[in-house]
Amino acid sequence: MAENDTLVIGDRELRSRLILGTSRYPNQQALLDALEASGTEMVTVSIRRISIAREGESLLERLGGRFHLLPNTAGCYTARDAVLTAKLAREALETDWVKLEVIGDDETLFPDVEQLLSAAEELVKDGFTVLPYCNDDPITCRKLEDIGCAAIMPLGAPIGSGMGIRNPYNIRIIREQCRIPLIVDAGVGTASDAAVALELGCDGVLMNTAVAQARDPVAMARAMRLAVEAGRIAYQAGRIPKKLYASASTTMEGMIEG
Amino acid sequence: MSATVAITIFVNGEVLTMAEGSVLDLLHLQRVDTSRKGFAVALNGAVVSRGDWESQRLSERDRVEIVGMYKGG
Repeated sequence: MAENDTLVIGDRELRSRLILGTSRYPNQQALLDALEASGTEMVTVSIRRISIAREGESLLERLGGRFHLLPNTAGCYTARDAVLTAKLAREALETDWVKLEVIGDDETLFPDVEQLLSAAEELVKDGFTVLPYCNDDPITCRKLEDIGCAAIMPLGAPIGSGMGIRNPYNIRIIREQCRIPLIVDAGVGTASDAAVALELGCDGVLMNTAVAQARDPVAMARAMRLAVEAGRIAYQAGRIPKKLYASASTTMEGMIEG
Repeated sequence: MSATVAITIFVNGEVLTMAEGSVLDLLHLQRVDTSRKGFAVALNGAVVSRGDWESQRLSERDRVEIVGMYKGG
């Protein structure tokens, strides 16, 4: 990838187009090794009630200095809860960045668009750098851009499903219509899914389960890094159009006569 | 010296009875290391900034949330 081909979101310039979640790894060492292997510069974290029994006391110390922390509002069902969670994250982590999630139900984890738009509007007005997890719906994405979000992050498929990008045509439309960074968030199952996202013109990919729950998370993290790079270069290189019939790559000129 | 008044509040969803005091008193009572970064407090749905922990008094039936950073996707 060209040295200067960086991803700029808000006031942040990233060399890696891969954003990783920090949850569901087999252990903390696997998490740290996978993050390293992925080349990521920004990781998502959650904000939860503190408990002495819960691990995570040293997570901030372990990750804070090495990665940009992107707190999420996972588990919030209302704009009100999401806004409060974002404000608590700002206080706790001294960042005004937020991965905004407002979900509609716990089976699909699909976003509640009405609540999402309302929360995004309030947080943008309050000075947050908002990266919303949203449906792969061009209209919703356009509204989020108009509100002033720093990026849009449509799902490729349901969170944790590993089904890849189910509607690449919508992602293409979103790419054509939105000028802010476009990041596929959720649905990636394996490296080729990440490559497809970048080939479609997405600026980056955010994933968690595909790496964390792979049999070898560190190897998968490296595969994702390479896939994102390959997809980006392929997008920039410009793919050939798809055709129904063959066209020979070897010329017939000079062909022997049998 | 005035008599200590006990208040009942909700801390992270649990009922807690404590002597009337501030957010900082509560954090000490909960054995939270307040010198540590990475956590935050909300009172009745609004963030209480670190600088206001000492001055912010708690009242009967207040709802307090004490949160920190954990793994997430």
